[in-house]
Amino acid sequence: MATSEPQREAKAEDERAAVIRLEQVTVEYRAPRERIRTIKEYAIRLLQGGVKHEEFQALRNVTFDVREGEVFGVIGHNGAGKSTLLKVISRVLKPTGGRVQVRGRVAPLLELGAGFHPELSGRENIFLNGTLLGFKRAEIEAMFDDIVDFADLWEFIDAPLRTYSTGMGMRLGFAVATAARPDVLIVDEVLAVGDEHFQDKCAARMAEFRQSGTTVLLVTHDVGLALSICDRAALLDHGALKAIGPVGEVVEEYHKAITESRGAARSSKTPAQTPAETLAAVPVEAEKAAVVQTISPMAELTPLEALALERRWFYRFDLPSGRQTDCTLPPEVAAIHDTRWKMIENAVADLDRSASLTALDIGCNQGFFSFKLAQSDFRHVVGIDARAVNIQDADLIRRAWQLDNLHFRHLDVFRINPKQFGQFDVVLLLGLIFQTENPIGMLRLAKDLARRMVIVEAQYAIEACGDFSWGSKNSKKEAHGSFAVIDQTAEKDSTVGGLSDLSLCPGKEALLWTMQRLGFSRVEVLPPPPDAYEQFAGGHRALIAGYL
Amino acid sequence: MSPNPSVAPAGSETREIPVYDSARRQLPIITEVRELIAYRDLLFQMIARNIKTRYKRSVLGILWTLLNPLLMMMVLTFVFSEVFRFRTHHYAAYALSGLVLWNFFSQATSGAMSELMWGGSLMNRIYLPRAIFAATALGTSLVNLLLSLIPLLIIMVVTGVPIRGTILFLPIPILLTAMFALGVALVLSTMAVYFADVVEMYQIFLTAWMYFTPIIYPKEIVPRKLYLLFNFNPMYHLLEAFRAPLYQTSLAGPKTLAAAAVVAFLTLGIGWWIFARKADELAYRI
Repeated sequence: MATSEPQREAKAEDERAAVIRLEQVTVEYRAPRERIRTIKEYAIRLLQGGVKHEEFQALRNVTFDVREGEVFGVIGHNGAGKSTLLKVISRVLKPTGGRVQVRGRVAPLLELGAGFHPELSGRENIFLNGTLLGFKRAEIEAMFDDIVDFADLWEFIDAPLRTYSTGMGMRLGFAVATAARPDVLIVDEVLAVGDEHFQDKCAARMAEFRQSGTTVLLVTHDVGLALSICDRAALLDHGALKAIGPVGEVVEEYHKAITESRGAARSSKTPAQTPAETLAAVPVEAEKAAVVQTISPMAELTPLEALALERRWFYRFDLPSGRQTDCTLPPEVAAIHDTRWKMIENAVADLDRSASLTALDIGCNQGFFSFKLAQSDFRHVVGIDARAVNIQDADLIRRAWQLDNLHFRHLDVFRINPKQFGQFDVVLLLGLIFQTENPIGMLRLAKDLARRMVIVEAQYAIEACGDFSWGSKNSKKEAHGSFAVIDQTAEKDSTVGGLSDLSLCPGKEALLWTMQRLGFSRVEVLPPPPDAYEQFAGGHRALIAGYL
Repeated sequence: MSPNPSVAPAGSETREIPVYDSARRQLPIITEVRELIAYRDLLFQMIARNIKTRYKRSVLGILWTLLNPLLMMMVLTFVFSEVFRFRTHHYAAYALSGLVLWNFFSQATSGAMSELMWGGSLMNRIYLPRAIFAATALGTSLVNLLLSLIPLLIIMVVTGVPIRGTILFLPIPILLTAMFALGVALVLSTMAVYFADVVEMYQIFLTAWMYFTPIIYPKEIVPRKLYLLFNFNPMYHLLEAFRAPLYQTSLAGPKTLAAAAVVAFLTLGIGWWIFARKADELAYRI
């Protein structure tokens, strides 16, 4: 873990300039022990022998840099010091110790429409809100038309704000806050402003900012969100920096901390702790997990579960109440999922579990296998898929189960930078290698992301082996198997096909040889179970484990 | 969405990059002034907001500002010149000029506290110069003062008080009173953040203070030996300096002006110093 070696972090390869620099930042609140709100009370306390103060450190010696253009997450449970950190960076609080430096204009997207007055018109509120955010009047005048264009409020711009709907007010607030590109953008959740059309516009504007080098600081206790948008992250706990590094590793650390505190809460009853400390030590997530365990079979339907049951799925998911989702595949084909899971379960069973395991499911579709692993003894599982609809579906199941060790991200595997993403014990690459134009590149990425093993699923194409002429008639090259070109036009727009209209499907030789060549220490075709789905039984499809 | 090239006029390359460094060493007293100047556009917007929202939903609108002192003055004139039979020359103009200045002072000081209470949550969420609330209250009451000078001049013309060139000196006593009010406002709002009862206590104090100042009564009705006490009342000197060019149609004497100036500069200096010292702590407390 990166935090245990601060030096490593200090000389990071990344040369980009620090936009936010925190050095030994400490924030100490000093408050009277008893609540004194009036002069009278104060005078009485003074006569009684002085006012006693209590000190509370909201942040202790926090040191880290956020670099230009980075999407940086700050995670931690409630009360970990996240909002204090935010205030320190946005200049609201001056730290009581240490030093904060921020280069450039900071735009907090947490306070859309700060200072809006209901009696003033939209026009007047643009100027009020804009100057509040630190713009000059002349600057707002120059941006005015853009702001109203973006919020799409020309019709109502001279009507008082009290006549606006909430959505209109939010639109106006967003348009003003993002009228000029900030150097640092602070967000605390995915912005759900206005209708879908407006949300797209917001997303496009944020993407534009990021491309132009705006640094994004995400402060949240929603770990899934941090995973889905951040490059790096910092973990705060009781005001101290617990971990910093690639977001995957930091989230892992976060779950480890929760598991530990859960264990501690179970094993020991420590009466020495004050109520406040106990409260802080048991994170909300742990409480949620306790709720999950008490759910009995065929329990009442939750709204999320009802939603899942209304729809038809690519997989047959178990739901907390004991019901199962409806599956679109004919039963004989649906059996493929059972075979796949049996084989994966067997393959990971042999792994050393002295440290709990993590997994990454690339092209997770509706997240079936991520979900299965998360339900087994995996400590932390991340599923990624390039299709947003799949991630939404996967998240529905995750939320229905309230699994906090499972996260889904809308992400194309080729957009991953393995150096920043962190590593996972097991990487799943199911039903994907034959759907991509770049199967070798995909295997390389999977290997870089894996610590222990990669499980690749393949359908074998017919292939050619042997020598062929290379450069001149006297020179030969040996073909180590071959890849077949596949027309994917029909599958491209489904939720299960590849992203391109062409793909390269490896032959058996080609795949095994390539994997060995990429540096796996051992490459093994997993044996199909006796009742395997016909494609596996017939040897046309296989799961191959590459060990590191 | 198509990329919008006009998205960032203010973020264009020529703009200097502001750098915030919490460890920068600077006198708080200077930082607060600089920040207030940097946010002057916000100050004007907040003053405009106060003025606009005060009149936006009322039928008579801005006329109220003019009518209110006129009605007040009519009541006072009736009570004091008909009932109590004060023999003051041009009583109406005398009382109104006193009221106008007193209202300016009391609005600016109590307004500063309520602005800070209103804006406190704002200050806890985004960065603002802390003195902006007191400055807004002062600016708002200054606009109200200028507006109420209109009915005052009307009354003077109607009741036959001669208007002379000395009226051009009015800005000086107004400025001095503004400085004094700002100083008091800064101390009060600092205290109000720590103790909630300051606001109520100040209202009581303000009423007492008003009767201790010769606003609606002529100072001549006070026994001579109590005159000395007036000298300890800062508002007395400011009021004398304000009334002289208006009502007495002569400039205030050098003694009065000097006293008013000392009071104004001293109070503002002390108030600003106390506020600036506590400014960083305010967000922790509010």
